[in-house]
Amino acid sequence: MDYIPLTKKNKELMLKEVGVNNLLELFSDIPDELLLSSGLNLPKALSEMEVKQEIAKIASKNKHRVSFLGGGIYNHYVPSTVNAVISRSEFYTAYTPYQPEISQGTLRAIFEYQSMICTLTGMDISNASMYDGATSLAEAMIMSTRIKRRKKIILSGAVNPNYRQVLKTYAHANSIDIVEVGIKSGKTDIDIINKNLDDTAAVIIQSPNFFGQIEDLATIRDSAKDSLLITSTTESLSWALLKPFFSYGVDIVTGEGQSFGLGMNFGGPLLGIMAIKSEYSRQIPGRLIGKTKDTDGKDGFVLTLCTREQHIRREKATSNICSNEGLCALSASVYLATIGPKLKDLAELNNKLAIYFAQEISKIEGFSIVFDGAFFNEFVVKVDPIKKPRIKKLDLGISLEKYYPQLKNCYLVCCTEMTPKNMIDKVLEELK
Amino acid sequence: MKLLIEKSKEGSSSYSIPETVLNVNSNILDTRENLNLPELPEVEVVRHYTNLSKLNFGVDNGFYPLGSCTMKYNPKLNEDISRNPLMNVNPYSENAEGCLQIIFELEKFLCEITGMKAFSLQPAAGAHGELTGIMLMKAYFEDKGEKRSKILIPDSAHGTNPASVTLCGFDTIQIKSSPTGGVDIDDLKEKMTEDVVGLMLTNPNTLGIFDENITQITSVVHDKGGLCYMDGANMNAMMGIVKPYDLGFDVLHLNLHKSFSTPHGGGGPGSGPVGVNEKLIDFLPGPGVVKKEKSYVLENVSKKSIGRVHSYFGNFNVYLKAYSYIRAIGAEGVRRVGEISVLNANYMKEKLKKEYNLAFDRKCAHEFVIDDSLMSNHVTTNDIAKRLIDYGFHPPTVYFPLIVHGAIMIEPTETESKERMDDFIEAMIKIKKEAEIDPNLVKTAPHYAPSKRLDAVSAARNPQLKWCNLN
Repeated sequence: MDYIPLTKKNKELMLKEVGVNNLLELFSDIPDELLLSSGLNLPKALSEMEVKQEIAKIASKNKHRVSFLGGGIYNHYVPSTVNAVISRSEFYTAYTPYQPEISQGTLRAIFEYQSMICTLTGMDISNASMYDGATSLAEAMIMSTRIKRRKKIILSGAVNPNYRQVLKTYAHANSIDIVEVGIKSGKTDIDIINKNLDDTAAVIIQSPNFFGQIEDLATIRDSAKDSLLITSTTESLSWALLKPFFSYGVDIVTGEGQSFGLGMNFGGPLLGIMAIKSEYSRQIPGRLIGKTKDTDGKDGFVLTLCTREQHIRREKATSNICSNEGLCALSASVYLATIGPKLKDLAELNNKLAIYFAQEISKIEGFSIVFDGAFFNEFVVKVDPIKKPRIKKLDLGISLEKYYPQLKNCYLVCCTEMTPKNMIDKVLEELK
Repeated sequence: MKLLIEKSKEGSSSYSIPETVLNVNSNILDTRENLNLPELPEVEVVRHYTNLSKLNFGVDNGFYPLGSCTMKYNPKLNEDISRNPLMNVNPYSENAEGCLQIIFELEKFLCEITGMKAFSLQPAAGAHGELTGIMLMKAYFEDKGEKRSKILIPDSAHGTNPASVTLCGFDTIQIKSSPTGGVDIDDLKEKMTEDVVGLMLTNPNTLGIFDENITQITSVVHDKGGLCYMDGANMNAMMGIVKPYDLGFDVLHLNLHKSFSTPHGGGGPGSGPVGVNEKLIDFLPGPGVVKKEKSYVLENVSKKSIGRVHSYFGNFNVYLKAYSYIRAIGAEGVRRVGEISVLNANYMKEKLKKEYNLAFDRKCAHEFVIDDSLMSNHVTTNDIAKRLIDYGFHPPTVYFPLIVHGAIMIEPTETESKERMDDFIEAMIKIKKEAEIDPNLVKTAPHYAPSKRLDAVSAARNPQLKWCNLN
């Protein structure tokens, strides 16, 4: 099946129109010796039915178990409205809305996305989204070095380890100097920020951090002094419960929006969120949608402030980013519109399920909670090696030793509405 | 049409959260007081977005000859594949061998199609792939202990090329195009010095031209120790015909949302895997997937790796669709894509050059560029584009590449029939006549779109980037 509608008759007519005798003559600009003489070594073509069967066979190799994995990708329920809307091919088969007269659907939806991200974070401006939480944070880091004209970044060690790796990749390419700050009781060690603050463009904190702990943003804002404060959030559902980050004086809020109606999908596609204070509007990377009017005076929406972007500014652009995660932003919009203000109740449920699990698991011999501070829906539990056979058949959490050698036998446990109380109770019974 | 927030009514939503009695108190002190998200009943949410979708134009609505964007048909099979619940796995899972097998096999397919020796699927878009590719080139010279600081880019290149170069701390040096639309070899030779990292080349280029001097070009760069990067935006024209590796490219990215049929999603998510030859394998982002006997496992990252460029494994659920596409069309289908996309473009070019000025009158690859220089009464490329909307087409890419004044870049792709292309050609001929007889009709188009022309200038002068919260 190759989806090519060319008939034999049309092929002859077209070759004649072009003035060639056969298809090969179309490629006469390519040196003969480079043209492939034999077919590609790929599997033979399949019917639609066979493709489905083949891939189903591969998919069945994924083992599904009782899981409390989180760490940056969360197993949330996706309301049916989300797939109903994003399955409309007027949305998913469209390109970037460069022709606004026939792209008002995408443009309006993204404008509404920008508005709802501002509501959640309290910030002035949200862009139209970026690739994922990690690259959004990396772009924020680079943005801060431009704003401050400084090349040093202070990075909390409680930021998701994969995100820190992405930051280091981008920082190396940009000659940015990252100073990593250690952790104390599961949170960023604020004393170390104070000691390293000279000539710093930005302090980067994740909250809730990788351990699920809620960072003390007010104190960190004070410590950061005239450096920018950039936050990352992997569990963006927490924003529905926590005080908006704007109120702590955060300059750039970034996050992963996967919790808003996207599947886990082995970690992609994702939704990179970025929201800023308005004073940095000329420095923000990525697309922005703005409201305007058409020649009839009707409201309409367009891509705007494009003079920041690569297609106009080329090597002087604020970023090389050319796309956004349009369909993922649309999913998030539909998700937020469907749940509405009840998102706060959902966040509360997630929080309470995690508190309940933590409380109950700590009553079982061999299990202890590692950090005392307030957490959202993730917490760290230490498991006595004697108890390890008990957790073999389930994914209790992400093993942390690989990322933090000092956290031997520790697991990052995540609860969502998809791990309800009866499931937790059953697991608790098995762990006893 | 009203915005969600204008339709919001307190108490109108009956959405329910699972009820659970949990005898615990939250330990969070700083909670928010209110959450001013819009509140609508489900039926109104669905109507809102259904009506929005009617204001959009996608490939499923009609012909979409957007040059360099390869707006081919997105097979519905792939959408079904991407909803398989068994693939909905947390990336931290250690029981995801099925996902790892897809990664492993897709990388092998892409190696076979391009001739490259290894791939990373982490980059989430074409520009992300470019950035990753330049990082690889940087790492290569750092490893060799050579200090190089410049990258050569033709003047016909896409804006993301120079922007990616800047993000890696290099300077962009522009290379001139030759009178026939290819790279000006003399200019290249002069600028290719020993402090140049390499050349970034779109091939076939954005004029739709396959540079006949390609092997000479890559040799000039290699002779001075440089590396050659291929922007694979236009890979569609080469599929199954020629392998970029054989042309002398050291590193490239592909746009799976172009050549490999994954939908564009209104601007993403895409997927921009990076492929490399022997020189650069060690520097690829990690972790990769290897096959050990019969099972697939994650491999430790090489010490020389540039590190991660994505939170996890890239846009898995996007490249899963590309995997499905390759399995459906097979080796023969991949070659047919190359052949027929080029036949279609040449057919349209021959027809249209009778009425429009063809920027470079020669054989083209999968796309070609005409301009507005033969239009009467100062009707411009933008006017033509807007009038095409009235005829039910998505306009081609306009005003790009920058080196052609008033450029109109047309890429039909292989999934369009002769009849559909003929409809478009006919509309283009009509518009040219309208420009002569009734220019105002063209200059005020579109007349039948959901919106009239929009005022982009005032949007930028006085930016309104979110709704006013009514609460």
